[in-house]
Amino acid sequence: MSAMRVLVVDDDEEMRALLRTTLADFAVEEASTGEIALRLLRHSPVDLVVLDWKLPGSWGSQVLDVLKARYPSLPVLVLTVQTQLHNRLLAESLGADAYLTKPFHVAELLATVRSLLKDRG
Amino acid sequence: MTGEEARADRLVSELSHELHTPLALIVGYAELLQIRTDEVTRRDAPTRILEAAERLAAAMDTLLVVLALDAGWLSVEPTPVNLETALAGPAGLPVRSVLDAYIARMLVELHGGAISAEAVAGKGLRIVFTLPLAPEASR
Repeated sequence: MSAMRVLVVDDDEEMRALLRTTLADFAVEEASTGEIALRLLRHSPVDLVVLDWKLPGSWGSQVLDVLKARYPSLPVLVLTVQTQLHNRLLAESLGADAYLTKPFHVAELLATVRSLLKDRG
Repeated sequence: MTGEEARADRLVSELSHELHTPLALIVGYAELLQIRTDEVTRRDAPTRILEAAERLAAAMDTLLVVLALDAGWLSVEPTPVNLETALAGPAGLPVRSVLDAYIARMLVELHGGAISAEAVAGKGLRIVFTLPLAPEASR
């Protein structure tokens, strides 16, 4: 069986490298902006999106809004430094399936990713 | 949200990003070292942690400057200065502290230049400021 595909959307190259290493059991695609992520998804479907909340040129909320409109069943995990409650509430209202803050625990991230992917196997 | 509240919200957001991102890298790689035994992780993670720690230290220096400015402990007085001459002079800019270096970096970057650092044996760190040539000098 081929590995589940995860798209990591984060403008920080070092953070993408950490997530690529952490999610080594999955086929990880990367995008540094929301625009690149949306373009990539048109041609290359994935099973899960890990989405940063602060991206160059757009907010994660804008990207999440488009993602959920185009791909309603695609799970989205918001992974962000934004600890303020209003950001979490906004993400949830836009359909985020999970919301974790940085710094995150590797075990918690992996457990959340596996939980979100369990119905797509 | 008022203009002042929006400014504060943006500042918190920026600082949060600058501080939490390197911290997340340190925690993430440290946890990977705890749970993984593969050679690549053992080899790369310590380097990544050290690089992230340096990044965090730089972000904290920036935060200290922002806090000092916000508290009114620092003031900025616009004074005409020929930056190119100052940097090219024998003494260069009088950089005596982290704050001096931070301000110098901002000045150089505002003028389209770059900053780099190199270790000098027995003398510590040598900071090099590079400015683009002025139009008349490049002709």
